[in-house]
Amino acid sequence: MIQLKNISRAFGEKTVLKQINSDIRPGYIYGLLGKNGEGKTTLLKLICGLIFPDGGTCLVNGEEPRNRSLSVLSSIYLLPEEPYFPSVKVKTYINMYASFYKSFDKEICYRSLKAFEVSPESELKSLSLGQRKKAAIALAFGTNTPILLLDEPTNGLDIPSKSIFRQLLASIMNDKRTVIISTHQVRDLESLIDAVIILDKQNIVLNENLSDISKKLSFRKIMNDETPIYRQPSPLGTIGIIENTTNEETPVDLELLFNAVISKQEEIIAILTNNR
Amino acid sequence: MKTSFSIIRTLNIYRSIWQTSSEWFITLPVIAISITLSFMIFLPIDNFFVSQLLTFISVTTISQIMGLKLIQTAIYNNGFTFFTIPSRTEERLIAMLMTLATNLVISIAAYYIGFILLLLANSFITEIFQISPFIQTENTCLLNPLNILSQDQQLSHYSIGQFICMLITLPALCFLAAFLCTIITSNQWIKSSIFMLLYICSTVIFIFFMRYLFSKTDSTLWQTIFLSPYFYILLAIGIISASFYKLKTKQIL
Repeated sequence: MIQLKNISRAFGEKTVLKQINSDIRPGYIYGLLGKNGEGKTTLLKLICGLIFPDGGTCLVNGEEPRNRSLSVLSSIYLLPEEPYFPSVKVKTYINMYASFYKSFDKEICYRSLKAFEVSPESELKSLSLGQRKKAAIALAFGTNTPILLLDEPTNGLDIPSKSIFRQLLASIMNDKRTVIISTHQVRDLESLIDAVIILDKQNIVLNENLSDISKKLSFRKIMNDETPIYRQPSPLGTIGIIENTTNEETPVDLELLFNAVISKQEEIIAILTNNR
Repeated sequence: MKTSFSIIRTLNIYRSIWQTSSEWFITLPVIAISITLSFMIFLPIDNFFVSQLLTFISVTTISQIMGLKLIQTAIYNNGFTFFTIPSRTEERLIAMLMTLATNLVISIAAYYIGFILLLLANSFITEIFQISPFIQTENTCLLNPLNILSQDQQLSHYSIGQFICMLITLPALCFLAAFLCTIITSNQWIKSSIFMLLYICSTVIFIFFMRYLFSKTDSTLWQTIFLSPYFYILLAIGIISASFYKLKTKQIL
């Protein structure tokens, strides 16, 4: 369980996060969405204790990550957007960090490498950017930590690898694990995400699981006589969001939801928080 | 439950720092030997002891800057993993200091190897070509402190203790200050400049200290204070305490 209580963080004069409050529960894959510079990476860094909040408290299983206690660090793995790769073989790179994690599962790690078709004997520096990212993802999955933070994990991956990534992540997911994926490529992960956190104007404006969202909102093509909460043109005609009054659930279109939350925040939040 | 210090984790961090740029294990001794040979041959100084001293200081300074660069890479390029891998603060700090110590040992060993190679080449060339030696090896002391001290049998145990204390404290002060500076700033130039400045100051202080130790005249108050190793030990403690406070506020520790 991750608890954010009145968290604020600024870099010099620029406030990135302002008194945010939220609970992040185990058993879900969270999609962390937000425009550029809205503080997605900052939030991930705060959760893993890489940076400290200016105000408020961040608790991971009841402990503050800023103390960098062994128990907190052992329970979190952060995969940065651009990991650093030393001039070693893939297997050496994995062994370097595997020894720090008691929960490390060699089988998961090497299964991931095999699925991505990355040889453990390859020199990291001789691999392409995408191949190196796959090695980093395999290590992240292998650490088997209860909390996995992934910052833009599909950046640099080819189309088949994105699908492999989804399959691997789904296979390692369980009720005790929390995965937070910061991404701009919502289409890549739409089928995987269980809950969504949207950051806007220095705040978490939405933290909701997708099944609750689809109970209250419908995502579909809009007829001419309908007045949706939000609409946008698409190749198939106008699509939009309408309050779900029929109890007929539709798959959540994350891109549509994100755009709606950014432009019609009050209306969307009012419907989602209604009858809670 | 509080987890105790683990030497295994410390060694793993130490290993991961070196593996950040594993080729440095080869590069460092090669550079150190090259500097030793080139300085000893080309330094335009007649006094062999002074040449040795300058070469030794140059080799150790450059190797420590390289060591600091390695730590800097580990922290700033690989910071995500460096500060998030499950380990204690003490383990990370000790691993970083061990990296600097290894650098120092490698550079001293490389210096002596370079020096021995130079002496061998000197004697070989002299014998084969029947020419005069290209370096004069009178007063060879190989920078052995005991050799220096044995020249004056009048020195008390207290003076020898002071000498050893000064010999350890001054470089340690430089290394620690530069090391902490490395953690605080990612700017290579700031770090290198501070390190060079401290190193030059400590060399000058050490030369004054040696003169003071061997001189038979009464010392003045400023000499007693500024050439006392205890002053530098206190200074080191002050700098380290202030730096640790800075590290806390910079969110490094």
